[in-house]
Amino acid sequence: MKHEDIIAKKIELLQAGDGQNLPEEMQQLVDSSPELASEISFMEALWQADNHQPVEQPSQQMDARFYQMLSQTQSELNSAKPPLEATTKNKPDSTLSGWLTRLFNPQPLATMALLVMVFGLGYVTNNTSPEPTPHVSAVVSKLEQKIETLNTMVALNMLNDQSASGRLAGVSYSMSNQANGKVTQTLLQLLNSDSSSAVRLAIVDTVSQRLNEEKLQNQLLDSITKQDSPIVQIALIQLLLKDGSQTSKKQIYALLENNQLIDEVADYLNVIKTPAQEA
Amino acid sequence: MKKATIIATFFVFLSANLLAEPRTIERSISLTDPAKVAELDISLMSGTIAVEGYKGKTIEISVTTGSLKKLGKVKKAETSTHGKSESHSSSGRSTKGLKRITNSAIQLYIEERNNKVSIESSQKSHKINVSVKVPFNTNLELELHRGSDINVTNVHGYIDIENPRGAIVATGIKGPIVAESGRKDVTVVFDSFNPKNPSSLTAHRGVIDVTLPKKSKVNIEVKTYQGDIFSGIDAEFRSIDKVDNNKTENRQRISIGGAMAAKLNGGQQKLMLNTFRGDIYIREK
Repeated sequence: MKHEDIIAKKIELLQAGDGQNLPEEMQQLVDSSPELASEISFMEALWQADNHQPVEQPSQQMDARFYQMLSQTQSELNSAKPPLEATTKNKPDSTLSGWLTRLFNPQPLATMALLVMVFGLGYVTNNTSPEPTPHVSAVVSKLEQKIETLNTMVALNMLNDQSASGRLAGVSYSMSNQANGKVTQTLLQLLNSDSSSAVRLAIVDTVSQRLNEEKLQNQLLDSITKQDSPIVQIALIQLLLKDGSQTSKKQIYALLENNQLIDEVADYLNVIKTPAQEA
Repeated sequence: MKKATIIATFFVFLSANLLAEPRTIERSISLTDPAKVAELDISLMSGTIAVEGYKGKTIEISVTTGSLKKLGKVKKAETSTHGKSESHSSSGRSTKGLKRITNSAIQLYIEERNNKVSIESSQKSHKINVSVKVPFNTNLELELHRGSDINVTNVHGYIDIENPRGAIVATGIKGPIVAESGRKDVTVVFDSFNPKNPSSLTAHRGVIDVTLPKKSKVNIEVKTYQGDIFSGIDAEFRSIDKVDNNKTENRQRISIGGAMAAKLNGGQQKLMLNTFRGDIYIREK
């Protein structure tokens, strides 16, 4: 018997809402597989939290949206792998954050949780009526939020990895998941503190997607003088000169005039700049 | 069930007498769980690091002491101390009537904890050359603050290397690798390219020379400010930065470098190559 069959049966029972347990044969399989047991527990918790009720059939647009989300999540999980070995710096504890740390470390459980959520979202949207009701929309919205939260937790966990390879994978994961505010702030903190230039360079690439935010431009400007690596400093300058505001550009040339840049970066800028660019 | 933790710690004190031949000590470290992936973390101030993958299941460590780093300076100081004109140490205190005692002890810490082997020494005055054999599937984190070269051969786990002063050579690897040198070259030869995690090579002043297997699927992104790019791979490099030196509607775009990219066999996972001054060589085998 496949795990998917058991999951489908469990969803059926949860949807029925009459408190029935899995058939004995299935329950034995669940008991013998910690992964499956964890998945089932997670589903029960999720179902209870959302107080799921049978809902009507969704529209075709919702179906299409679900399959797009499923495809995106699967490709993200395939393309960005969390740390090879779970080597977090802090020991998990019995608090909620400790539970979350254990949940997302090691990766397979997080992967499973994400897939269960997407599976749940698909089940809801595939077993309902053609027109979405406000209730369906609310359920879908909640699930989307949960998936975003899980993505954020995975990204933050990866960015906190002790190895540069793990953190680089975290930056890549953040990029592919359109980092939210919390992830962006973590990226900016790492930009000023990470020991690896490779990680900092990757962060410059990632945050460049949100350069239209003035606050972000100011944070990047502040970061220029905190860099001890010429290659990272010039990458930041290149980004802001290319796509930054006029104010940002003026401030960069002010840094140059005030000798606040690394010597070889300043030399390079002095060679390539023209009066027109400085104005 | 309570997890068993095995800790093996060695405090190695080596004699580094200036007049004596370099001395070598060897240690074999058993892993807590040989069936699982091992991790090796080396952090030294000076010397060299060499790591080689092999078929065994233990970590074989060989440490050789080098000569004092500031040999010339020490001898000069001794001479001047015994001379008539000067009798002060570098701190300005009188050394008249005192005899210099060379500090020949070297502290090196080797520890195994839950499959992670750490080798550390913070001593600046002695060169410590560490050579380690590890199981093929071992993760590496290597750092040499003021030393010479780091060499890695046939290791198939993830590899992190930082070497501000010396060169980095990694051959027969699979990645992912994040390697960064300050002054010298980074040379990497991949056996295969890990498709799951990105890799990155950075050389601030040195050259990057990377060789990829013909069949690997790699998104290569190259950025250099003062170096040239030489490619021998079967993929076309294109600029991924739109560069425009013309003014348009009060908006001016300028180019100060720019990145190039190529997709080898359609591309899959990223390999980022960054230099400030050095050239970049990309080969295939």
